[in-house]
Amino acid sequence: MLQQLADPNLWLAAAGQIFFSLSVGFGVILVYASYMGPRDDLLLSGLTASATNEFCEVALGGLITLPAAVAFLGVAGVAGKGTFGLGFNVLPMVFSTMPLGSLFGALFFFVLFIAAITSSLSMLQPGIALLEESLGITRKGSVGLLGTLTALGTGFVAWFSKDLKALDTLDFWVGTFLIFVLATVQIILFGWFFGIERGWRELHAGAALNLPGWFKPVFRYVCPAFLIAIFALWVARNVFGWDPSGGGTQGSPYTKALFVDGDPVAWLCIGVVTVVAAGLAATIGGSRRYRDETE
Amino acid sequence: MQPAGLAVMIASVGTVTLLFAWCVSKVLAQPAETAAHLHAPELHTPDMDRD
Repeated sequence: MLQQLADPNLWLAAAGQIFFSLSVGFGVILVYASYMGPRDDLLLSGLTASATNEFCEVALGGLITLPAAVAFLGVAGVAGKGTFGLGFNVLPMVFSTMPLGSLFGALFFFVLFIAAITSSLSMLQPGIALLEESLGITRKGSVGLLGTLTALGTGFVAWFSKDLKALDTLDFWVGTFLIFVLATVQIILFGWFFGIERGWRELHAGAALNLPGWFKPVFRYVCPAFLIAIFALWVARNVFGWDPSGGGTQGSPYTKALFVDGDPVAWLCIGVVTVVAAGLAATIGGSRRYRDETE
Repeated sequence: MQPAGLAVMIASVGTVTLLFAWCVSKVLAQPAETAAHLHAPELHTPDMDRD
């Protein structure tokens, strides 16, 4: 277990998972925050939302899916399987053996579909607002443009669907790595530029709870140092080959696909992400509205 | 399951369950005027007028 804990890939994956799960580190949290009034309770509602999420993931999801996976596939079959494999390979096996399994299976995946759609709305909203404001187009035009871009991206993933290579590669670099990087930038901006005292006042405006004072150095020093250390160890492990776990763990298959195997699909995925990021940067940079507001 | 694994599982599941229960009890214990600040208001944004 200690050997696994010395693996920076595990920490990066865990951090990326919890940031994605709590919608921290990318545009979704900005959408949710925009619905809060100045006197709304950020502290208790944020803590309750996080605790509910963790309860459902760890206590409900973990205790249902993992034992079922072990029962059907054995420990060796579960090892290394991601949430995708557990959800879409193991649960159908469970449903196929239980009474009324077809009904419960259909209901489960329908509810999962609804959950994904509702999350997608909040994920797309920052992009819709960005295109609407920067290009000066209507909301319908913005939705149409973003829908076209999303369809092209989905088409790319579907075209390179062999072994789920494109989906897996984009999921790691965008859904884990970039979210981790953005969350690190955000906590540094919060702790060192926005200001802890200012953040403390915002946090406690209308709050029913009082956060203990020792959280201030946690926000300012511990969180940034912890995330930067994980990032530095991840780079040392996967780019420079240094292994703090003593050779007991493997390097990231995603960096291996890029720099060792030279996988063309992996490089295409990086190209797509770069083109989209450059396009967004050019859109923001060329926007008169954003320039005027900055000045 | 090894004793260490069982201990980690009980600790993690127990912690999140207790935290969840404590948060729910805190929310439900709020007086009506404070509870109004625990959910978002009905918003009317400018883009709704344009469309």
